[in-house]
Amino acid sequence: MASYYVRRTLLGVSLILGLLAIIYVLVYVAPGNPAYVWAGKPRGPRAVEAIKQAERELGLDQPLYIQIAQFITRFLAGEWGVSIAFKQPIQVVVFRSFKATVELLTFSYVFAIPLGLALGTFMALRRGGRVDLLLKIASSTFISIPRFWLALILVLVFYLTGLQPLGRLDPRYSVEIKEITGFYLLDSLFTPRLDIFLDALVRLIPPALVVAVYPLFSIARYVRYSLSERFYEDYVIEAISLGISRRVILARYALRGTIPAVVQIAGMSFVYSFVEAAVVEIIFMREGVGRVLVEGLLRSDYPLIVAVFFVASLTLVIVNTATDLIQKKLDPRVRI
Amino acid sequence: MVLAEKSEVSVEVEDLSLGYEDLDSVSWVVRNVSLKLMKGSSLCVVGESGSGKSTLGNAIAGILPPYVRVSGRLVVEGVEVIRDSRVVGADRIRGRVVTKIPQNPATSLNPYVRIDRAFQDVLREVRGIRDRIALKEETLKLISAVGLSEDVLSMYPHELSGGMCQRVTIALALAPKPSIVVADEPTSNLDAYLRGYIVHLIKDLSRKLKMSLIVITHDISIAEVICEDMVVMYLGELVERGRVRDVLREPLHPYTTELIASAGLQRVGQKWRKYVSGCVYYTRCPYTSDKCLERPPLFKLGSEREVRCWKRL
Repeated sequence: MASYYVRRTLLGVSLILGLLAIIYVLVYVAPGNPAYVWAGKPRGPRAVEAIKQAERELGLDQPLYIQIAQFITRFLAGEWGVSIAFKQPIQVVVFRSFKATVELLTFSYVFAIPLGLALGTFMALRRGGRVDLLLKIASSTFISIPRFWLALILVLVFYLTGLQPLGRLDPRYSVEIKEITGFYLLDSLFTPRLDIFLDALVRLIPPALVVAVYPLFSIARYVRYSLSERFYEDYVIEAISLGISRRVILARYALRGTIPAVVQIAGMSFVYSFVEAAVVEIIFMREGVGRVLVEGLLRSDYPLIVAVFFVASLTLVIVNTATDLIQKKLDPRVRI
Repeated sequence: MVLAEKSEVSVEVEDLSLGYEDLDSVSWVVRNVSLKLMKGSSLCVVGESGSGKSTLGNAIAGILPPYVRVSGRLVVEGVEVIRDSRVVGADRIRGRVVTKIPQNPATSLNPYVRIDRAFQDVLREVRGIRDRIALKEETLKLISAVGLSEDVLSMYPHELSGGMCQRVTIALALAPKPSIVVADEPTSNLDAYLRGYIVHLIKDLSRKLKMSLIVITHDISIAEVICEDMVVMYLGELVERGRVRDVLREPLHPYTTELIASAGLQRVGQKWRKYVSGCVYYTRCPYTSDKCLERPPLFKLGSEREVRCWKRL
């Protein structure tokens, strides 16, 4: 048991190291010539010498594996450099936006997972009926609807109701709020400032709705089919024959069997939602990882892009490791 | 005689037909079966795959699927389960008066919980035991009744062997203190040694706890060990009924003769097993005559024997 957790964690760590190496190769080696840029795009008779000099300074004259090792060492030591686009230390830019995105995603998922389970169960219990059919059509529609369009519609709807859905916080409050965790919902509660909390909440709900659409309906769809099959599994029929009540059979026998896979689906779509968050953040004018990435790309801010890729991939590895560990906990039969 | 003591009826089946709905038709898998089971007695339902024996067993255990079609009457321990082409009382008998020992023990246990949790669910839900100590005591009593040690309780189903799983499912079936137990092919997934062990275990337990026992099997040799009465089914019809020793000594129906004669029954192709309007056994019977194109009634020979064959006239 313990060895599984250790092995899975070690696998996660080695994935992160491999990831850094790949990111380095992709970003620094593949496009253009960094030394040329570093030397100030020199021309004239001594240009070759200047570029050589720049290569030495950047360590590009070293063999590739040394370069990768140096990059990883520096990166893990926290030397991420300064962002060209934001003119701030990269850690500051990345972590501030990262917290905003995580706040958005967590908030969406806290509601999407239980709602998806409930909706899927509801559909499974009424499978074949009219309600089931309607909800099936609805979930297919919502899964395939373009999220940017949905986001735009929501902006419109919220404006019509008189609520202000854009940004992360009212500019007045963003000066006042005391940053403790960087998650505004928590910070405003800790302070405590209920007015700030409400403002942050109102601005969080519409983008969270857009992000929640995919996990909610994909979980609902999975639960609906998986649960319908489980009603005819031997161990469920056996439980029925023993006279155990419907409620207990549903919760502890049938639904229990779908939970491990639901955790996996949630984990995978959480990572996918990072991409979706980029679109949503731009439309709702929120700060966030996705937005930072787009800005960085537009201004060729390589160090920032590397850092964002790294943090996003790190999240992927952590979430995947966590879901695997949770799955092991939930399903005693899982092996690696 | 023994019969006099067991005069109370435990299961009464009257002209029962059971079928499953297809897209636009119904395939009847049990046709016009009538039988009676006295309290505390044991009955073997013998027949090959597709004879409808499992469906009959499921009906008595109260676990028919929602897409089933019924006609006739079924009374289990005084509760009307099937009446007027409707299933009316299945939820009142299942787990209360009748439980089932499943065919595939390994897949019939909840894979996500430990064994003791499975027992607690049944004892809490059906017997209404809430007290932790009482639950533990009762679980231990059940598990030792089937010859398993306490260690099993902290294990998951996938950590148990096939024989252990089967013993756990037997103990689970006893947990609600049923008056009838239906064992559906209880030995089909076990090796020869375990088969004998499980058969004797079920027999001894049912005697000790004074339960009525219905064993559904394709293995006619089990019937001899475990039961007093037997019925033979073929293609959904009851073709012969009697005391086990009488039937085995002197089988009346050709199908029973064939079952007894061949331990490894030759499989017959599906087209041969199509239901015809005459005798169900017509296509496989070595003794056919023109008379067999007409469906034979169930001839009574004394109070204990019945057979559906023209040959006996």
